[in-house]
Amino acid sequence: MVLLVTSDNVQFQVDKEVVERSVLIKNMLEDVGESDQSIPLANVSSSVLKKVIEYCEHHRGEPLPSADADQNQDETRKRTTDISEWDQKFITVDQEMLFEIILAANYLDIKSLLDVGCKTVANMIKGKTPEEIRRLFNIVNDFTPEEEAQIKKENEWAEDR
Amino acid sequence: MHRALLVSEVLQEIFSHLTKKKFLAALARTSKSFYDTAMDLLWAEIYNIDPLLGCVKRLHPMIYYGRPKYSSRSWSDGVEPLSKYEARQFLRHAARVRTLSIHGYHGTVPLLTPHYHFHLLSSLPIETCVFPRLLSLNWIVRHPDDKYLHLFLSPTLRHCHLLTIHCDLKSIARRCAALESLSIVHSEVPMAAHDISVLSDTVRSCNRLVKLCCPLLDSAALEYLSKLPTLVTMTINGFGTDNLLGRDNLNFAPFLNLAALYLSLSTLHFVTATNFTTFIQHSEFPSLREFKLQVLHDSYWAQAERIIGALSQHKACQILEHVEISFCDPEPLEYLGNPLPVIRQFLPFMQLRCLQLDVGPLYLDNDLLLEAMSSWPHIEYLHLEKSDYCEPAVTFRGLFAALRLCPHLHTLRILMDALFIDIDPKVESFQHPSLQNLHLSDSWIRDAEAVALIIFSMLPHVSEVTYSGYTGRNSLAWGEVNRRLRSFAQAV
Repeated sequence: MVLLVTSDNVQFQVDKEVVERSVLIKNMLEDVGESDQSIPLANVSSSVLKKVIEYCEHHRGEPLPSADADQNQDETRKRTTDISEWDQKFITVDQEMLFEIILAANYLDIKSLLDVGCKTVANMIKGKTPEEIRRLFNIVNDFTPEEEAQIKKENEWAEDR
Repeated sequence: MHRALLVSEVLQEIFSHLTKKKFLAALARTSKSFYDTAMDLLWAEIYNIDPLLGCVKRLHPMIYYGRPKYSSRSWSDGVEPLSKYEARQFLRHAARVRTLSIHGYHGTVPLLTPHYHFHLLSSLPIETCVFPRLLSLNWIVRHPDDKYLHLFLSPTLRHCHLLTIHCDLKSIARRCAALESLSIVHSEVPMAAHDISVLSDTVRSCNRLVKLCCPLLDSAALEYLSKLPTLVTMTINGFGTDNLLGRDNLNFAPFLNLAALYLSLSTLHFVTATNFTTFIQHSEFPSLREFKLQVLHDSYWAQAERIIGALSQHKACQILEHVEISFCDPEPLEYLGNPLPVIRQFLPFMQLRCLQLDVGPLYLDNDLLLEAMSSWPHIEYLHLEKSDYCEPAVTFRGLFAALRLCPHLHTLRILMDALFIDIDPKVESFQHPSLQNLHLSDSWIRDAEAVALIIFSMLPHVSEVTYSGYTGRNSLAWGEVNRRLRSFAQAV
């Protein structure tokens, strides 16, 4: 078992096999060797880590993407925004939690979870206008009308593709 | 806005799942923090230079609101080249382009009068590198438009596919030091000696090639390639008229890491086969695993036979795992009605895992199939059928005797005689452990129920047989076999 300590100082005892889905933690454990020392996760809160562990538990034993996975495989992964049924249910959370999971997956280096989170956000963006995207994510439009018009003009070739 | 949307690697991950250009274009206009990531992805791959020309204020209305798209005249006809100021507008997003395809096609259909608008770039200095981060260039441009190639060559270029050989080719090695893959489809047949010389000089200047696809080079270039440790895949797609290699003293080093050798030709004539067999006979390929010969038109089996003969006497035949010989014509030109004695030539290839012989009617009977399978204990994929116009001589007894010798076989495509039922599945205990895909083309058949029972009992991983669909004379019966296979499976 591995002891993880979150940013709000909550401790989690997790199976080594489960926690090693995080490349960051796997590398840390390899560097430290056999030890009872806890691993502090200063960038992850307890509510987020709970979700991350739930994901890793469910996908326990599945093959991890290798560091030198070939480019074609990577491209195929990116061409699709399909998400499996369980993952879809798992990632049905409020927007705040969705982005926190993405940040945690990025920090902990859990490629498949990062994928699920980012595909979910990508699916939310599809088909929306810039104004709709701004409203969806509470983004301030910091372009002047002239700047926005200029970008639209330069990207006109892409409008029907 | 959530702080995750300020992390550039997270944005990159999210946006990379959006493959439609219009979604990325919307993101680029959403906010300044999205702009660069979205624009880099949006402009990463473009076709022709029209999108870049559209960034030039003077040209924008001509491109988007000018002449109808498929008019024979181009919007750029008679238009002045870019000024120095306009060149900066043109280059504004060029550094974002990583993959560029320049071609005169609409979809897959070549346009009669393709418009590239290159004359608008004639004011750019000759040493200008228009695309400083380009990784891949697909240049399907015919003379005289091809003279602008130099503007598209970049020091970052890894993959380059060209249609013709011309003088700028020599500058590739100088301008593209990182080039790993060079492919040249030279459409003029036969190739002129001058073109071969230009091409050979070019190849000899590239020192990081991993993949090369071009017509057969002269002996100096082949000697250079034989010493190039990076070279893994070589495709020869054309030949000159002369016996290119016969005149020289050939002195090749072993092609140390060459794993795949392909011969992809429009026609296969005597000179071609002579050149290639000479090349094989004077070369060593200690890492060769894959060999393919593909002929699009005018196939002569006698010439293919010479090549395969040379290969079967070469050390490489002891390590080759994947061999494909395919003729697009249904049968070779010299075919006189007798099935081709092809299969026996492959018996020395003991390490074969995949063999595809797609060349015409093949001679195959029970004895030969047994001999073949005992020669190829590792075989996984076997395709020995091209044409239905020969009498099948393999029966179920012969098939299963042979299948016992190849436990790894998962795909088999042959023509067989299933009219004659010479096996009783009730007294046979054999079940093949791995065969999943059985393609029997237009094999002869009468008793669908008996055949289905044999397949169901002895090939437990075959859920249906593939056959010649509606065109085959026996398709009704094979359809019935599949129906029965489904009902047997449901009954279990």
